[in-house]
Amino acid sequence: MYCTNCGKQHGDDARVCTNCGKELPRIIPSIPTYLPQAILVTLCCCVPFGIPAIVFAAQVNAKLAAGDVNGALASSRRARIWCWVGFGSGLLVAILYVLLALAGAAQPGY
Amino acid sequence: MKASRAWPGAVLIASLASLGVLFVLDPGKTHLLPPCPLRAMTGLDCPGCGSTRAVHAILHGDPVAALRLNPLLLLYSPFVGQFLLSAVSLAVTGRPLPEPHVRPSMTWLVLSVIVAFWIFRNTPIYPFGG
Repeated sequence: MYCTNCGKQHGDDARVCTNCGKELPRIIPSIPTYLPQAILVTLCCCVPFGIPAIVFAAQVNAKLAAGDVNGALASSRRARIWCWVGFGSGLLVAILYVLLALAGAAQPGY
Repeated sequence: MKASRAWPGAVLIASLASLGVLFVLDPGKTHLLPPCPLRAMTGLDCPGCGSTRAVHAILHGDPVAALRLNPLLLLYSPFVGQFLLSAVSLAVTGRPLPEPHVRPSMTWLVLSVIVAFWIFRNTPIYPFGG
């Protein structure tokens, strides 16, 4: 990162330019919230796992706004995990159900 | 950040396959598609109940029926659309679409609407019961 005022180079975690004293622009990384996925999981797969995914999605941007990049990354990871758990369990239930339905359809009178 | 193109391709194929199945089969009439596990066990509607029937209704050009079956699906369709378009972008160009910034208060609102709707649809005053 370079100071926008005097051009001196700094590390990415520097806050203030050591050369001219000007405040350096904060690099805010783009951290995925997984909100669209969380909503999809809630509406289409599995509510019990979708709701924590939305809660963690909300925490990502809340922590980012507070400057807590590591916390936001952790929430982002948790949101992703809950999305996958919800999607996986929804898929598992669907596959089991279809298999049972096919097995049931193959046995007349059952 | 370089992302793999395998999973967005899989997401797209699975989404198209699901849409195909939901176009052909009406989840309200067939026994081949699973009912909501929560509803099957407790008799209560979950916030997502009716969403697959709503997709079927949308695919058959009946958004009003879709709204009756599950209003949240249409209400949150921008999020669903963003997810699908981002998967297309990842599969084609290898980059996701930039995620629009959603303020935390907005996300809490999204969650509150889901929970409020969940409670409301299980009360007798909900207009489209069942």
